[in-house]
Amino acid sequence: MRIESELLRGAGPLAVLKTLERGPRYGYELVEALARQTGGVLALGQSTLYPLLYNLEAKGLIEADWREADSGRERKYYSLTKSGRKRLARDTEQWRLLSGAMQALGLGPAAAEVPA
Amino acid sequence: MIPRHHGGGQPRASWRVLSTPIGDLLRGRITGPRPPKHLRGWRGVLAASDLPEALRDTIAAVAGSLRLWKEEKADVARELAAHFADGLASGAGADALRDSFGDPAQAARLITRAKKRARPLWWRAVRRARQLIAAGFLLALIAYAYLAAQFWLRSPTISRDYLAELNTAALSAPEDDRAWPLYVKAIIDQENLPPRFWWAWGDYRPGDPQWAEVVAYLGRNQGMIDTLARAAERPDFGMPVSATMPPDLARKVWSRHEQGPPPAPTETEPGPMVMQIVLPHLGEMRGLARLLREDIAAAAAGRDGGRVLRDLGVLLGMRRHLQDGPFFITQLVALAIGDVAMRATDEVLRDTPDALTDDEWSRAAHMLAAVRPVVPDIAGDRMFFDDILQRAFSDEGGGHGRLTARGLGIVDSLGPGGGGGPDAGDLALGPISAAATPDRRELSEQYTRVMAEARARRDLPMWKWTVPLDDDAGPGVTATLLRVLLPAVDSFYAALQRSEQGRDATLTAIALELYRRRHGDWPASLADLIPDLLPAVPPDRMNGEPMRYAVRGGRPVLYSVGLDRDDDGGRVPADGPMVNFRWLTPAQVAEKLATRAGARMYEGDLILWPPPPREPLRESEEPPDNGKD
Repeated sequence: MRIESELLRGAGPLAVLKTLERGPRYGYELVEALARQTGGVLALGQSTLYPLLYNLEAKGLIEADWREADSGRERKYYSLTKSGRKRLARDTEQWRLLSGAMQALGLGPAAAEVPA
Repeated sequence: MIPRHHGGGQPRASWRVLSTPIGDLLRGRITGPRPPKHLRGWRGVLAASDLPEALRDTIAAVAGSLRLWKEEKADVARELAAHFADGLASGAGADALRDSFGDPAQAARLITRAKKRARPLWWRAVRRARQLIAAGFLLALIAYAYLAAQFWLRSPTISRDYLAELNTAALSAPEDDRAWPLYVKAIIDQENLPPRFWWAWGDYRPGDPQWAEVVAYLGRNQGMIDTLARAAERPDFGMPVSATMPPDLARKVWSRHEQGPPPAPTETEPGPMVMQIVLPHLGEMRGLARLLREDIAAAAAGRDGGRVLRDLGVLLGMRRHLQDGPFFITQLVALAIGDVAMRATDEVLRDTPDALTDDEWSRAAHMLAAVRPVVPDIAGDRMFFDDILQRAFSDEGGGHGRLTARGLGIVDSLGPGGGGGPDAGDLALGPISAAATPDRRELSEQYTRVMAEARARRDLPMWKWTVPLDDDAGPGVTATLLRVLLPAVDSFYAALQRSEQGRDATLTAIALELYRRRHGDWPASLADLIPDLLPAVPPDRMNGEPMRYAVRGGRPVLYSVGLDRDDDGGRVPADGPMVNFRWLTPAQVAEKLATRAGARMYEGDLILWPPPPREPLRESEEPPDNGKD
C-alpha cells in the first residue's frame, strides 16, 4: 500500500535521520535500508529522497561528504550533525506521543501490519 | 578525472573558482586547456560515466532542468550517477532503476528548491532584496499608471472671469475722472532720459557736475509735468489691467530699450489669465517719481515754492491712485512714491527751507497730512491665486480638485525661468507632482488661513508687534505652489510702518520750521508745537512713546530710539546711521548684540529728520550695464 504524500512528508525526514543514526550512508544505501526496514512502506523514490536529503543538509541536520569506496567508485555519504542528533531525539519523542495518541484512538497497527 | 571535494551541498571555493574566468586562466597556465563544452559540468559527469542510455537520459532530464549554478548541477549529476551505479552493482536492472526514480521534472523542481535553501546567507539576502525591489517596482508601476490616468484625464473648468472682476471699478469710472489716459500722455511726451543719467537718476543735486544738464532736461519736460499734475488731480486712476499695453505706450516703453519688445504671450488659455497681465504703470510711475524728486530739488534751488508744491501734489496724487491696488505690489509702489515725496520734502527743509513761504509750508503740511493711510488689500492677489487654481486644477465639486496636465504648464511658468513649458521629465513626473500637490480646496484654505494669521499679527502699531518678521509661509504650508504665490505680508506691513513713521517725521519737521519762523528759535520740546502747528506728538514706532527731539549744533533732530529701544540722545550707531533697517524684536536685537561681531549697528538711535547729507557725485560716470530706466 502506498502512503499518502501528506503523511509521508512528516515521517520521511524523521525516518532518514533515524536511518543515519547508526552511521554514514550513501543515497542508494538509504533507499534500500528504508525500504527494507519498513517493509516497503517507506520506499522513497529517488526523486523524493534526494530533495529530502538536500533539505536536511540545508537545515544543518546532516552533512555530506564525497568518499571513494573500495570499488573505486565515488559516493556521497550523509551523516548526522550535532543538530541533527538533537532534532532526531526531539522528533522521536514527539512521534512516540503521536503514535501513542493514535493507538489510544484505536488506530494502532495490527500485528499483521507491523513490518518485519 | 572528477575533482574531489568535500561537503556535497556547497562545492569548495577552489572548485567554484575553476568555473570562473580565473579558472580559465588557471587552466590555461597551470592545468592545461579547458575541456570542450560537452565535457564540462553535468554533461562532463555523464560523459565520464559508463551508465546505460536509459539512466543517462534520466540524469540528463534532471540535471538539465535544474535552475542551479553549474557546479551544483554537476554535483547532483555525480550523485545520481553514483546512485545508479550502486543500483546496477546491486543487481537491479536499468529500467527498474529508472522506473523507481520517479518523475525527473518533479525531482528537478524539488532539488532546485532544496539546493537553493542551502546557498549562503549573502546569496539569499541578495535574492530577497531583488524580490523586494521587483515587488516594489511593480507596485510603483501600478500606482504610477493609476496616477497617470487620473492626471491626463482631468481637466480644469474656468468658471470665473477674474480679469473682468478686477477691472470693474476701473471701467465704471467716468472717462473725465480717469487719470490713466493723462499719465499715458505724459509718459509718451516725456523726453527719453539720456542713458548716462540712468544709474543715479533721482539722486542728482545742486553741486553735482551733472546738475546743469539735469536742470536743462527738467526744463524741457515741464509741459509733461503739467500733464502729470492734471492727472494727479483726477479722482480715479481708471487703468484697466490687461495682458498687453496700449500700443502707443508700448512703443514708447520699448523705444528706450535696444533689444525691443518681447514676443507676445502665446494664447494657450481661454481668455487672458490674471497671471499674464502686465503692469507697465508701476515702473513708469516710479521713474516719474524719480524725475519729480529731481524737479523738486531744482525748484527749491530756484526758490520756486509753487513748483515744489505742484510736484509734491503730483507725487501724492500718484500715490493715491496706486494705493487702492488691486495688488500688494501696486500698494507697495504707492508707498514707495509717497516716501519719495517725504524724502524730497525733508531735503528741501534741510537745505533750502526758505524756498517756500510760511503759507506754502502750511499747504505742504496739509497735503502730506491729508494722505490717506494705505489699507493692505489682498483682494487682487487672491484673485490672482484663485484664477491659477481654476486653470491649473480640476473642479470636482465642493472646491475640491487636483492638479491637471494643463495646470502643470501654469505651475512651471511660476518657477525660476518663468516657463517655456514643462519638459519631458516634468511631464513624466507630472502624475507624481500632482499627487504630491495638495487638493485645490486645501490650498485655498491654507491661503486664507496664512493671510488671516499674517494680518492678525501685523495689523497693529509696530511697537505692539511681538513676532519676528518672516515672509515664509510657515510650517503649515506644504505646497511649493502656495509658497510661491503668497504675498510677502510681513515685508509689506514693515514698509507701511516705516512710511508712516517717515510722514510723521516730515510733518513734525515742517511744524518745527514754521515754529522757528514764528518764534525765532526752535521749541524746547515738541509739545510746544501743539496745537497750532501739530495736532499731537506722533509716536515713535519702536516703543509707542512720543517721538524724540533734540537740538544739536543749533539744528533740530527728530529721532526714534531705534532697534535697541534705548534713548541715546539722538546718537546714531557707532558704525553710522542705519538706513532702511528691518524691524527686529528686542530679543532678536539682544541676541545679535551678544553673538555677532559688528552688531553695534543695532545700537544707537534712528534719525528720522534731517536726512543724512551726501557727498557730491563724481564728474565722470559711465552708465552701468544694468542701469535703471
